[in-house]
Amino acid sequence: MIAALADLLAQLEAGPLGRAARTEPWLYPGAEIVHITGIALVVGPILALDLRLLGLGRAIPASVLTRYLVPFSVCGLILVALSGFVLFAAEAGAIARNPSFQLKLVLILFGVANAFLFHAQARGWRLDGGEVPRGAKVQALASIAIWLTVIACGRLIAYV
Amino acid sequence: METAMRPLLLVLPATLVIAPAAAHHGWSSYDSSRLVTLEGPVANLVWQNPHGMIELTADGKTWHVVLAPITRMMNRGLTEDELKSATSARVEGYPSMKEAAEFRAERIAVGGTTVELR
Repeated sequence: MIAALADLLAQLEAGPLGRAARTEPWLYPGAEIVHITGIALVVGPILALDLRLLGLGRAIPASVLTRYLVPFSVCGLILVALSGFVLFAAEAGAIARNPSFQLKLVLILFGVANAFLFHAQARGWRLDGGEVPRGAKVQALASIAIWLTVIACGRLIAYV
Repeated sequence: METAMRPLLLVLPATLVIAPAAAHHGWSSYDSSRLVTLEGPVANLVWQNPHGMIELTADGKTWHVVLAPITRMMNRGLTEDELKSATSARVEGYPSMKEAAEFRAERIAVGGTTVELR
């Protein structure tokens, strides 16, 4: 790991947030609860939207579903990021070195990039009437695979 | 609506009472301000999830040393056989502030190799 990054992580871990996360009895479990709730808010709506693109619930216009669900995912992202930072601070060095955590971060970047790409292209597609374009379906499948793997990677940090 | 709420009002405080008892091996129950080293004979390995455990006697005191999940230990080069047949080990970590004989190992050195557990 780059020396400068290692120093930064050591500072975070030894600093007030790191210490609080390790010693305040309810801070770490509280952060875990917020993290899990955030995960539900991020992944649930994304899966619902992806399944709609793959043909489930055709009675609901995809554009309406998107407009309603996406804000939940955005709120969820804020929650997982904030709570995740607290969990991370408790043992920043060990977690940063953990391969499951590293994969998780890379996949989150891919997942968010995939979502942005989809929304950039969605306006050009007509998703409400008729058949969903193949490109949209491919992105929906990729999205499902990515976000389920992110969940697995997060849980497996403790196990690798 | 009111009758449906009542069981919920009973359950919520109950979980707050039960939770501390269930918060075993949580981060905050260990004194992470100073790293302690224990070295001595080991026995009674528990090779289980969510984390293994081994007894280590140092300075006349027998500690319950909390290890890591099975897959993590295996992944990092520690095997059940190696720990089971070990006669002694050295651990660095933190004593529990709640349980007098509990110790959370950051790393364990056995048979010449040191394995990071966190």
